[in-house]
Amino acid sequence: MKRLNWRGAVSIAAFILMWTLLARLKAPGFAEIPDPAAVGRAFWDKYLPSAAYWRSWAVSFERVGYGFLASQLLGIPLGLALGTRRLFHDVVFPVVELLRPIPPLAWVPLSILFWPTAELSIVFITFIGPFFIIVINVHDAVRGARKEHLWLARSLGASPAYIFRRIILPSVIPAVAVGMTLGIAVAWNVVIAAEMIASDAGLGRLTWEGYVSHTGTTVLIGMISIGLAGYLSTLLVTYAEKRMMPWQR
Amino acid sequence: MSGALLIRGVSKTYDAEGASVEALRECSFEVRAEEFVAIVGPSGCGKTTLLNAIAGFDTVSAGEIVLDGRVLAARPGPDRVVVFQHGALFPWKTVLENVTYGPLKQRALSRPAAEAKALEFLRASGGLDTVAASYPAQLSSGMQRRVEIVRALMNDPRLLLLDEPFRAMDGFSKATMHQHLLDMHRRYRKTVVFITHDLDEAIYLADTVVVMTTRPGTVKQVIRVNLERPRVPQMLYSREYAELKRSAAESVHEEARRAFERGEKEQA
Repeated sequence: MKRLNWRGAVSIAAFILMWTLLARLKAPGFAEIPDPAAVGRAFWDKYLPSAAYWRSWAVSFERVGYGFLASQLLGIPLGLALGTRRLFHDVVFPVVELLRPIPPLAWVPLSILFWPTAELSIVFITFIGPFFIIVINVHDAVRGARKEHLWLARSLGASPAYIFRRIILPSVIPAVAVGMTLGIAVAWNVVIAAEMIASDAGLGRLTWEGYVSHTGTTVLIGMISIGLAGYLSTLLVTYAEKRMMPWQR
Repeated sequence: MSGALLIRGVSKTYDAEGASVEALRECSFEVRAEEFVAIVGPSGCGKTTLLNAIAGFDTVSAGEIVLDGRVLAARPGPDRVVVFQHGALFPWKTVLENVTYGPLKQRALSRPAAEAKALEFLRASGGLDTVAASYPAQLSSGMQRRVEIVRALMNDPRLLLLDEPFRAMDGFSKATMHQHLLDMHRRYRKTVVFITHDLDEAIYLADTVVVMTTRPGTVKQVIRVNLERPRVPQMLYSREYAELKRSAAESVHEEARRAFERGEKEQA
């Protein structure tokens, strides 16, 4: 059984205590910030039984799920092709390098113009964030595959196709794992911002509505929910990574 | 399958980014079947270049490499297996999967036969059969090296090529690995080409020590080591050993000094 991290628990308790004091004393900047008890009460009374609140969770998770999954399904093969095919690399990589520095949120206006629905444009933006991360991670991992592994496999009779499937693919799995960890965090960052700008649903929208209506409890419940959602997604990705790399347990 | 190796007038020049670098110049020496040869020389003298050419990973610019009377093409094969300096076990495969990889890939053995042979070899390598189901990351560096040597031997190679395999080890681990390697050589009688910077290691392990010059690498001196086999650590304090070391040290240190003066890192 995992040992309880007492220092961490004390630290969280101290944080909540500090927040309570600052909010109750109306410290500068805290005039409109509710204390934790008020947030807890609002959550218990208003949001926990609310279908609309849980729908916000479902909508955001769905967008992150589709965007993230698409980014991996398209990004991993693209990274592999860029890393292994010289001609393809020479033709396509400059375009990747041109588009990669554009922040995902800068794609919002174009995405809205391009895609027929707001939903598709948000999923697309959520896709763009992790997409370039995984492409570059896999590309670099293929190029950094240890020549000793490739040489040894050739010595022992492996064909180029076998080397690709059984040597290069397993050797990029750690890079895929890193790309997934970074990518899921970026996907949540992007989806929340996109929901605030261009959506009428989701946890980002919930938080934004709290701001517009000057409801501090809603803003904070939205923020905490986003944090929890990101944490749950990271747990899922970490679980997937462990399954992908049994040799690193 | 004997493993007699002839290096005849081998030269290698690299053309890297327009600059021509002569790594090897007319290297020639002979390795008898089942002999243990150590190649020593300063850093950058072309030892690894020569080993890569023997393994078939790289071409030569001139000369030829002859194994059992046949000129080798620049193509690797299971008859020449390398144990690399930084190790090359596949981290995603278990010890047993790593060791059986060659015979299964070449369809030389059925899976049950390959696994039985692997377990026998691992057992003979200091009881490594107990970690057959482990992944390489779960083993110590010494165990990893032993697994690599077993993996190479599983292919019944004519040449076992070792590129400074014990370089990063501490003195105690290195001494243990020396005895292990000598034991494996005695047991399986393979021709061994062993690259090292360590003169003590070279003399203690080898039948012949080839001293190479600084770049472009040529053969400076071939020293026959007449120490008895089996080798035991007490031999390191014998008069014969001291004589051999004195003879080799002069050559090696002279080359190390030349390499240092040329601005190369001195590691001999």
